[in-house]
Amino acid sequence: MSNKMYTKKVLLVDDDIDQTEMYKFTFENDGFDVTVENNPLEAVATAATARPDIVLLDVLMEGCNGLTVLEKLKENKQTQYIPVIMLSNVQDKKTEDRASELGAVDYWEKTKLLPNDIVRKCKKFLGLEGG
Amino acid sequence: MRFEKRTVPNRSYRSRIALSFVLVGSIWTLLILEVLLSDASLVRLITFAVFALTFILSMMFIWYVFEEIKDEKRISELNTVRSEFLYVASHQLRTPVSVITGNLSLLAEGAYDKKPKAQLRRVYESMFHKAKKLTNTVNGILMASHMDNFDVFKLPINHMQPVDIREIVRNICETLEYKADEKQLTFDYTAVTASDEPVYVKSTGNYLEQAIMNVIDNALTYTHKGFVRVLFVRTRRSISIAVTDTGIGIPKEDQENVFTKFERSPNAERTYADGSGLGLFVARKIIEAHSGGKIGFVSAGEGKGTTFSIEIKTL
Repeated sequence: MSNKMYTKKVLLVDDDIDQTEMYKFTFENDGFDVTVENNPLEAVATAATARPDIVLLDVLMEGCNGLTVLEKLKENKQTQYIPVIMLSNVQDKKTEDRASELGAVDYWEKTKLLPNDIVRKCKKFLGLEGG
Repeated sequence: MRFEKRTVPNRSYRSRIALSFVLVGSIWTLLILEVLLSDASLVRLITFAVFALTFILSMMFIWYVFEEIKDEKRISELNTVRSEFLYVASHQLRTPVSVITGNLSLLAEGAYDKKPKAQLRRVYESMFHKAKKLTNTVNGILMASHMDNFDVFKLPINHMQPVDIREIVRNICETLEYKADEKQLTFDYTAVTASDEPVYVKSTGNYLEQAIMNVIDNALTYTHKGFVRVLFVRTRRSISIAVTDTGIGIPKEDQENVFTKFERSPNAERTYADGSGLGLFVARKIIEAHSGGKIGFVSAGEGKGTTFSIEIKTL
């Protein structure tokens, strides 16, 4: 595991603090600049401020569903071009299809991926080394 | 977790109904022609007997087809419920698993080796918290499955015993106090009884405790600010427990499904994504299995709080 700074920014949107702490640690350990948003209602504002290179967005969250957040991210001029990957434990074809319709670039299932796998896939998506 | 919905296309039973009408119509037409062309009274008698028999058989056939349609609709509804359950259950079961497995993988590969002790403890705590949550979810699902055929009075006689319900309610309130503290809610428990004597109902302690716990825990889960008040009242022949909260309330259109298995109103889903839609279903099954057991609620609608009430006959 390298500690090279990629100067790439990732935004994690998930209401589960335990999950975001784990993913934040793994991304930071690999040199990413990480912003965490545990309140889905604040996700668009946070994305507009942080200007991440990629957003990892959960689906089932308290306060607001991830699909609604995705829709708002795509409606907002400041955030509409930021690639969004859904990272969820919901395995449901309808949800995946809806996310794709709304503009998510991919849909990953948390239980099928260890934290390092997620970092590796993000690096690959962003065209970084070792992907 | 993908699965195919077992539905039968509408066309299949529509064609069966149409076929039955065509068959019955053809037979009747032939028989009417036979009657018109014949003079013999015996032939007429037999013809009418055949008419009657055909009519009965055709009605039975149509009834059978309609029953099949009803069964198919029921299967389709069950599939919808199963699909909704899998949607929620997959999230509830997988979320803790992904945190436990993810952290264990990082521990195993030494990624946490340089973490300060306090931060490492936080990792252990989060895994322990998720393991407990997973246990609760699995227990909830097993309990709900058990409840489908539950009748407390069919349990072996030695399972039934007088239990002090006032003590049960008091213990539950003490157990859940932490949750009210975390959310900075006012949480009151008041018992109105003539004396400090125990208040007995015939039950099995564990089941009853689970039911009352579900109701009070729900009130705390779905209340963000204000209070949750538990009022225990003993009357001459029964007890009542009223749980009043200033929580999210229950929208009018969702009120008829409050006790339905896996049903959750949209405002409840927005408030607490991890709910299974099993708690109140289980609570009602248990309460109504008790002598004089009733459970109900009153809510003026979304955002206007709710009062759940439970009644059980005393010994």
